[in-house]
Amino acid sequence: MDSSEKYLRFARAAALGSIAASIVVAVLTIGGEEWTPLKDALKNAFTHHWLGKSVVSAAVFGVMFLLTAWKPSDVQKTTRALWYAIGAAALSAAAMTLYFTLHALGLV
Amino acid sequence: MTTLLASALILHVVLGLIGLACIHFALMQLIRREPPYGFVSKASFLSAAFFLLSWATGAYYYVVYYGTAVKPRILAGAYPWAHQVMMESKEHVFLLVPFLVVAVWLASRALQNASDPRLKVAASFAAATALALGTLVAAAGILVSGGVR
Repeated sequence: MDSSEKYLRFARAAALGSIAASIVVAVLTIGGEEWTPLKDALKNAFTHHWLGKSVVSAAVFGVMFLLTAWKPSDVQKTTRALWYAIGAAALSAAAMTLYFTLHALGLV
Repeated sequence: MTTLLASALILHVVLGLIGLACIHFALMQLIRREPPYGFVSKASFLSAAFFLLSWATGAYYYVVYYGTAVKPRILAGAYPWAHQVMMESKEHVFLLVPFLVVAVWLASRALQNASDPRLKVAASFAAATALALGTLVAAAGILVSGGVR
């Protein structure tokens, strides 16, 4: 197996996993604040809502990695996935920070 | 606070800062004209490992102690936003960083085998994003510490 192609596949899979984890963290965080049953479900299942988000995000990353790591990739596909991962992480961080700022100001 | 909790907090901070230093080293090498990809790969791998260890030690302190002993003091103090905005954002943004660093590590392994300018630029920006988010998380940690005093 060409080790370059192998790592292109793995890097793309990790980038896709990172995208999925970024989305899940933002949805669970903002969704959990707005809809208490979601936060309570995480708390009940994992003893603490933040532990729940930690476990779920790691699981989502791992599953997405395993589902996509065997699919053929090339430089273009891996590069594109990395750019999307950068965008997803930046948007997720911005959305959560903006949400908590507005929440502290009593606007949401 | 018990010695174990204090150790967990100190380790969380120190391991996180080492993780930041490693991804900073990786980025500084990645932006060179001909990066030493072996070094970048090792630095980004170590960064991911240190972030994961910082995650584990921080989780112990946060779940066992912060919520019951620190958070109420901050909310009752002069700077409740230190928890409401800084801590709430920090604890969740932190969850994004290790995954992005793993992608940087694997991209640098691919570059080590076959260099490509497009992948190099994307990996550099991914490392820069992880560094920026990690630095903001660390800065928020300083503000949270200030808010409790």
